[in-house]
Amino acid sequence: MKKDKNILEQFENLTPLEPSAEWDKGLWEKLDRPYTKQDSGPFTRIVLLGLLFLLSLNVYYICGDLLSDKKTQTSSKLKTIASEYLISTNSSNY
Amino acid sequence: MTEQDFLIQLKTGDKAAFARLVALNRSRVLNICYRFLLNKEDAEDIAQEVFITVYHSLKNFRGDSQLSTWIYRIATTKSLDELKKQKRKKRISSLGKTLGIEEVSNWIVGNDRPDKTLEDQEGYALLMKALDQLPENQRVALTLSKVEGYTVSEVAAIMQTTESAVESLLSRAKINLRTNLT
Repeated sequence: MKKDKNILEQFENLTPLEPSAEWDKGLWEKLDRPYTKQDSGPFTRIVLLGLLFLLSLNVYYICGDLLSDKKTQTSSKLKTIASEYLISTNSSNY
Repeated sequence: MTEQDFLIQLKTGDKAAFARLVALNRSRVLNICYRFLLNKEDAEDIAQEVFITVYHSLKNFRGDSQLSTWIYRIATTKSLDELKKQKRKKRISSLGKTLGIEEVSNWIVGNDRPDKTLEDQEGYALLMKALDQLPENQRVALTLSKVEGYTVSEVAAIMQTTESAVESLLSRAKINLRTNLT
């Protein structure tokens, strides 16, 4: 209880702050900068993370597709070569 | 020079006039922010933001209230916004802690200064918790009334309400704060 009273007293008697020369300097520096919106908030960051995730998922699937295409191409090439070889060996047997 | 002439000078973008405006109001603005945020660095940052907003919004000031009242209202709104932002950060951080992705959640909320509190950490936490439990208008009335030199009529002007409403908010806020602290 005493502690709570102390906290209240601390709040009531908070020593006022005095703006320093550094604060003034900082303000004028900020005023001289082009006026832009503030740093992106947490929600913007969540959306950005989501987009990044979707993008990486997309890249993963595109690469996967390309690789499987390449595999299909290679196997069909091999099949052609093999069948050509079989045909040629068959015809030479005759 | 009347306030009207001063305002005309300010609206033309006169930097000397703006410097005078800053000099006249910086102490009160800084202390309004400090009373709400209870943190020196945060209060200084927000007080600077207040003047930047004032500088860029002066052209929209219609003169419905005194210029200083308008500035203190901006300081109050900005401080409340900052408090909401801090609360949101705390929620996301604790969620990150629970999920074990503290670093990611800290990056999301931009939590680069996690331990920026008053010297008395325990007391500060208790006070902040008790103040957070107050309804927003009670908190605003109580906080503004504690800024040095503020009269009930000035608080009423900033809050755009009547003096009797401020008095009633103040008495309820004091009762609630005591209850929240026990």
